[in-house]
Parts: sequence; structure tokens; C-alpha cells
Amino acid sequence: MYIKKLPEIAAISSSLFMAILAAYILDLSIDATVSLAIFFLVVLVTLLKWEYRLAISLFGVSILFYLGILKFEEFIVHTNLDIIIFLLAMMIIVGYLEENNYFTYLISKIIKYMHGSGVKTIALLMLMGAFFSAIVDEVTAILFMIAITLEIAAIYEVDPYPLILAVTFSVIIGGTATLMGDPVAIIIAFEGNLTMSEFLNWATPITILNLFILLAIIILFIRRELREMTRHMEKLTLYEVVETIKRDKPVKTRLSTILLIGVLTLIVFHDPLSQILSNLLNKEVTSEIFLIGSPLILASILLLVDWKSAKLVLLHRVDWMTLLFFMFFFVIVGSLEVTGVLRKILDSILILTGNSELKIFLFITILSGVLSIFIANVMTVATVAPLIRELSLMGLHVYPLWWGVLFASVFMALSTPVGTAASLVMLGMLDRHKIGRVSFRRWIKIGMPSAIITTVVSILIIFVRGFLL
Amino acid sequence: MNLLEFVVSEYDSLAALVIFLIVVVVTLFKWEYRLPISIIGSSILLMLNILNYDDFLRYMNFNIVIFLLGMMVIVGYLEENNYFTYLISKIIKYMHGSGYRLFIIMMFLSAFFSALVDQVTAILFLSALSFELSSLYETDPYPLLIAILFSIIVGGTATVIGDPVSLIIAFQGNLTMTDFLHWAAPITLLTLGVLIIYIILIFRRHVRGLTKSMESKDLVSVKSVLMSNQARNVGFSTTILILVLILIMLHGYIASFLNNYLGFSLDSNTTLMLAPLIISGIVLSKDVELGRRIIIHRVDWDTLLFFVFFFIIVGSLDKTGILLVFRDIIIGYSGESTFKMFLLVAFITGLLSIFVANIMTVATLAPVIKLLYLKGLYVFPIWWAMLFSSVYMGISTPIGTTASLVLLGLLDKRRVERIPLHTWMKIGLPIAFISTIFALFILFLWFF
Repeated sequence: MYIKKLPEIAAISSSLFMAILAAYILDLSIDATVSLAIFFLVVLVTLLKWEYRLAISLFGVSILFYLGILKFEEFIVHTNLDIIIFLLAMMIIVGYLEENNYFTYLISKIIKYMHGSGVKTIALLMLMGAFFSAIVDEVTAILFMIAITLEIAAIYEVDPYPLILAVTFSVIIGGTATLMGDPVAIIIAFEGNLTMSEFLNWATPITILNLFILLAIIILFIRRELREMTRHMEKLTLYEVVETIKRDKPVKTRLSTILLIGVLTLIVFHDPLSQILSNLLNKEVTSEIFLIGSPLILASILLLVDWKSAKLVLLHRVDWMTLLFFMFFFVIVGSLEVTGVLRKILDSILILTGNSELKIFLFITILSGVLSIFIANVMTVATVAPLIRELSLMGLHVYPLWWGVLFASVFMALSTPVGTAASLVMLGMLDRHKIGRVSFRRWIKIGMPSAIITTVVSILIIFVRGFLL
Repeated sequence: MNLLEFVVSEYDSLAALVIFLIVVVVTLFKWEYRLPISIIGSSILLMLNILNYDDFLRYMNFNIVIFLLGMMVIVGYLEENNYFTYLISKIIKYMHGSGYRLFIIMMFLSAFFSALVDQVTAILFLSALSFELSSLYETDPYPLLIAILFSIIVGGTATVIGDPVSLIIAFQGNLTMTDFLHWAAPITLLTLGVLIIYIILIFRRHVRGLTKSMESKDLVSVKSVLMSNQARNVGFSTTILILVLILIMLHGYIASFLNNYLGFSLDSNTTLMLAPLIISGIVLSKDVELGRRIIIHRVDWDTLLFFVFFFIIVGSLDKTGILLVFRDIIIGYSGESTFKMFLLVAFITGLLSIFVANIMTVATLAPVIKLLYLKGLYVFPIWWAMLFSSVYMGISTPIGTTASLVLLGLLDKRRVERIPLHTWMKIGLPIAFISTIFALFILFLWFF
């Protein structure tokens, strides 16, 4: 009985210990120590038992309230509802497209180009993964990309794991190209007030470059499997392949296309459009409001036009668990801000780095990269982002830092299965298909080198663009 | 100031009013479109910068939404474990034998569960039970269904948790559970008594027939109806239900205790919101897989989202000053006399609740009462008048209360005929008037 509870007991005691230690070093008040202990507790529990993430963060927030550390007004400010509502609306739209089998329909148009060579197959799969991840979001992209990858592996009778890892990595990397690709990118966009055009200017080129680097690494690592795949391919004709891949019939394709193009246009041009609207109305409509409003208004039109199937989307395709977890975890990080813990940490960082912007950049980037190896990168970024915001309020030049944190936290998360939402979803899918998990060693073998190389490359580029040019 | 003049003078308030009216009219004709239309309304308000992000946070009444969310998780857990059917199976032996007894016990149970958990849950499992009992005794299910529905609606006013309307009033008026037990519960109980007598009078022939058909059945077969669903985790379910009820009962005391002895500054609304929140954390960690299912299937996300976005639309009326105009209109008619205001508010909410869902009526008018309060007027009796007249007048039509709408949905799902509007009105309208006037009369005696 107690042996089984050992991880929980260890989590509670070590979070208390770490909080007291930090309180001693940073000279914190009691409120600050308590909020730090709760923060550590939530992080450790999610680390040990990911499925308890919502329960423990609800619990943590309630405790913070009962101890008078958090007030209701602070609570609502720190829920970051802008991010939550943006995610919710995107989930409704993308869920609707999925419900109509829109993405499998798109992929089926491309599948015929893959036949003939293993390298061509893997390259096309990875490019598609990254592309869809950037334009919808990584969690959705991973769902249908893994489904199609499993089918391809079955048809050509090859080991599915190398393909799955390759596709997962490319989906994760692709998510950094746009602000809606990855929850991490959304948090950074909202907290750092970054627009889509800034993403296209700063992030997208780096993403594309790293995607090709990743492709090279993957081909290098799995060349034997790819050669075997090419051999198997010769036994089958293209017609047989296309016939074997079973597809659910797409419905309402035109409406789906309009919807997807509509939401992409509104998001890509949210900054100039909000300017135009401001001029028209003769008062300020911030680009952030416009960014939340765009998917929201499309989602509501969708609900209005096709209520019967959209209601199912609302109930089944929206990941309420994740939304609630994000919200309450944001609040727990917010309590660190309220009690002044973040301020103290910031002061120590400033002392440590001697106020040099370059050293701050390196320090925080490396910190978030290292953290993302162990805990989900969304949690890392949710914690680090308020720090950077504080830094920018102090008048420091933090612009390159946002991009550094984005790439370090996402790319370093390739190294382990717990790093990103997409990896966790993928593992869940493998469980559901009953084909066994990817072994940890195999993951690290390909993941660690890919993570380190892509992270270093992207940080170097940002360093050059941000500090030298 | 005249509303028309005011609206014409400012485009923002005109836009807000138009959006509000469109949303109300659409929900009136197509209730199932309430969510999309209110999301569109609030997106437009945001995009036109009539509301900014801070207003959005301020007006969404997140404490009400979080409270409902927590309660839905807890009650969903109890339902997944068949806890309520288990409770009823303990009582069912007392119902057998006489139609009168069955009606009286069922109506008491309905009001009791409605007050204790919430009316939507109560209607879900009690209507299922009524269907089973009616098919067992081979009688027309509608009289029993109507009886339990009306007692559920009436019962909901007894506590903060019973009815979303009382929840809104509690949060907006800063009323504690103790206030509700002191002021609302006795009136509810008396009204329930009146309701039971009236229902039995109009259905007396049906009730007599029920007694006759009971004689051909034995208790064992009646009990077997309920035994089909096995209850699980009864001990844990009882514990969390009692815990959350205690936390809700004592939320006012908890707040003042923490503030006085530990120097915190919590308000009673926050401790009210926290009661289900912390317990739902416990529930979710008890069984993770079940917890995930509860979050997906048992939490009524479209209702929660509708509340958020409708509150925001009402918020835009507040921000653009239209609610202030409403306030001044009320003051203009009643001249700061609490008694006249009491009558006026009771009349307006009652009248509106016949046509519009009462939750929308109260969501719109409660901020107006709050404005009256902020002006320094004595509004305590008015909150109760609003509660009773909105809920009880909501009985008169099928769209008046949440519970009625849920029941209609259930009838559709079972593919049985809906209760026709004129039958509903024939029974509901007199009951609505009798109970509203009765409750208001007691309030009048109490306060004036």
C-alpha cells in the first residue's frame, strides 16, 4: 500500500524540500514559499504521473485560494484566457475538418508521389507533417500523420518505428513555424505580443532550415530501413497501394476548404487587418484581440451553419482536459508572479549574468532547453514567459530571447518522449493500436542528436540575427 | 434619460443593444442555437472594441462558471457510480401501495434532490425513474413527469446550488448559503406544499387509477426495476457529497474565519466557488480514467460556454451604460422606495421569464439590481423577489427554465411525444401564478 504510494510521497516531500531550500537561498516570504512548493508539487506529479495533471493543478489552485495567496481578480487575470479561447476556437475548427475527413482527403492526393523510393516516401511524409503542423496544430497533425504512417508501414511491410519517429519529429519541428502550430508558440506569441508576420519573418526560415537538417539526420540514421522499404516497393504497383490504403469518405470538402483558407487568411494577416479595422472604426482594435476574434468568429459561424455535427465536435474533438490543465497551470505560475518569487529569481539571474543582454539570452535559452528535456515544454514556457515579460518591462532588449526560448524548448523536447504534447499524443495512439511503445533507448538514439543539432543551429542563427546584425 | 435618446446618441451602446436583442430573439426561436449566436455576438463586440480583453475577463463571471464546472464533475462522478438510483432504491418500498403516497414522496424527493445537487441532474435521473415506474404500473407517464418537473423547479430555489438562477443571484448579490437557508428555503418548502396539494387535486383521477393498478404488482418486481444498475463506491460518493455540501453550507463562515483569525482577505464568493473546485480535484485524482470520461461526457460544456458568452454580452450593456439607463428607469418609476421597486422588479422578471429562459432574464437584470445597490439603495428583499418570480413564472412555459428544456430533450431522445404547449400552459400557468403570488406574498409579509 505505502510502497505503491512511494512516488507521490517522494514528490510531496521533495517539492517541500526544494521550496524550503529555494526560500532560504532567495530569502522568500511564507506566501512565496508556499506557492513555490505547490508549483514544484504540480510539476513533479505531472512528471511522474502525467494523467494526474488536471487533478493536481485543480488541487493546487484551491489550496492557493484557501491560504489567501491568490485573489479572485488575480486568478482571472492569470488564467490567460486569451490563449485558452484561441486554442478552443482553433480546436473547434480543426476538429470539424477532421470530422469531415478533410486531412486524409488532402493526403490521399499526395500519396501517389511517394511510391517508388523509401527516401522519397520519408521525405514527403516529413514535409507534409511539418506543413500540416504549421497550418493547423501539432496535436491534430500528429493524429492523422501517424495514422497514415502506420498504414504505409503495413503495406510495405517495414518496421513502423523509424517512420513514426521521423514523422513525429518533423511535426514537432514544423509547429514552430507559425503562431498556431504549437501551444508553446501560442503562449510565446500572446505573452510577447508577437504577430504572425514576425513569426513568418523570424521563425519560419529557421524552421524550414532545421526541417531539412532533420531530414538529413533521419535519412542517415535509418538508411538501412529505407533501402529495405525501396526493395519491398518494387513488388507492388502504385494501383495496388492506392487501393489498399483505406480511406474514410470525405464530406463537405468545399466548406472545409473555405473554412481552412478563411481562418489561415485571418490569422496570417491579423496585424494589418486589425490596423484597417482600427482606422475604419476610428478607435484602437489591438492585433491580439483580432487574433483571438478571428478563429472565434469563424468557429461560431460554423456552429451556426452546421450545428448538428459541430456540436459533436464541441463535445468530442475539443480537448477540454488539456484546456483546463493549461488554465490552472497558468494560474499556478501566476501565483509565483503574485507572491514575488519570479521577481526574486529574476534578480538572481540579473546578478548572475551581470545585466548583459547576451548572457541573459544564453542563460534563459539554455535553461528552457534543459528543462524541456525533463518536463513538458508547455510547462517550461508557461513558467519562463512571465520572466521574459518582466525583463522587457525593465527595459531590456528581450526580442531575440522570445525566439531563443521558442526553439530551445521545442527542439530540445525532441530528445525524450515526455517533451511535447505531440509525442504524448503519439504514444497514446500507439497504445490504442496495440503495437507497443517506442523503446526509450531507440527514441534517445535518434532524438538526442536531432535535438542538439537543431537547437544549436537555431540558437546560433538567432544569436547572429539578434545581436550581431 | 430616455433609452431611445441615449442609444441614438452613442453608436457603441446602439451596437451593444442590437446585438443583445438579436441574441435574445434567436434563443427565443431556436434555443439550440444559443451558443453560436452568443459567441458571434461577443466576438463582434470584441472586434468592434466595444469590449476589450479586460472587460471580457471582468464580465464573464468566471466564479459562477467555475462553480458550475466543479459541481458538474462531482455530480457526474456520483451519477457514473449510480449513486442516486442507489439512494432511491432505499426509499422505493415506501412508495408502493398508494398512488397518493407515490406522488407525494416523488415530489418531495424531486425538490430535495434539486435543492441538494441541482435541477438538471435531478430531472435526469428522476424522469428516468418516472418512466420506469409508469411503465411498470402501466399508466400514462405524463402526470408524474409534470409533477416531478414542477417540484424540481420549485425545489431549486431553496439553496444556492439548486438552480443556475439562484447561483447567479447568490454571486451577484453576495448572498451566502445561510441567507438562502434563512430566507429562501422556508418559502420554497411552503410553496412546495401548495404545489403538491394542487397537483394532486388536478390529477386526482389519475392518482386513484394508479393505486388500483398498484394492487396487481408486488414489491419485489418494483424493486427489481432499480436493481439493474449496480451502485459502486457508495462510501466514497457519500463522503464527497457530504463534504462538498458542508463546504458550501459553511462558505460564509469559512471566509470570515480565515479573514478574522489568519488575516486573509477572501470574500464569501471565492470560498463558495472553491467548495466544488477542491472536491472535484479529489474526485478526479480518485480514478483518472473515469475522471477523463467525466470531463468529456458529464460536464455540460455547451451550457458553460453559453453562460460565459451571454454574460459577456450583458456586460457590454453595462459597459456602454445601458444598464444604468435601466436602473434610472426603475428609480424613475419607483422613486427609491424599496417596496415599489420590489413590486416592479418582481413584475418585470416574472413577465420576462414567461417568454425568455429565466436564466437569461436574471443574468440581464441582476447587474441592474447590483447597480441599484451600489447607488446605496436597500435591495436585499429585491434579490429574493427576483429569485422567486423568475423561477416560478418560468414554470408557465416549456422554455422558461433549464429543467423543462432538459426534460423536453429527454422526451425527444426517448421518441415519445412532447407535452403539447396548450396542455403545458393549462397546467403550468395557474401553478406559476399561484406559486409566484404565494411566495411574493410571504416575502411581503416578512419584509414590509
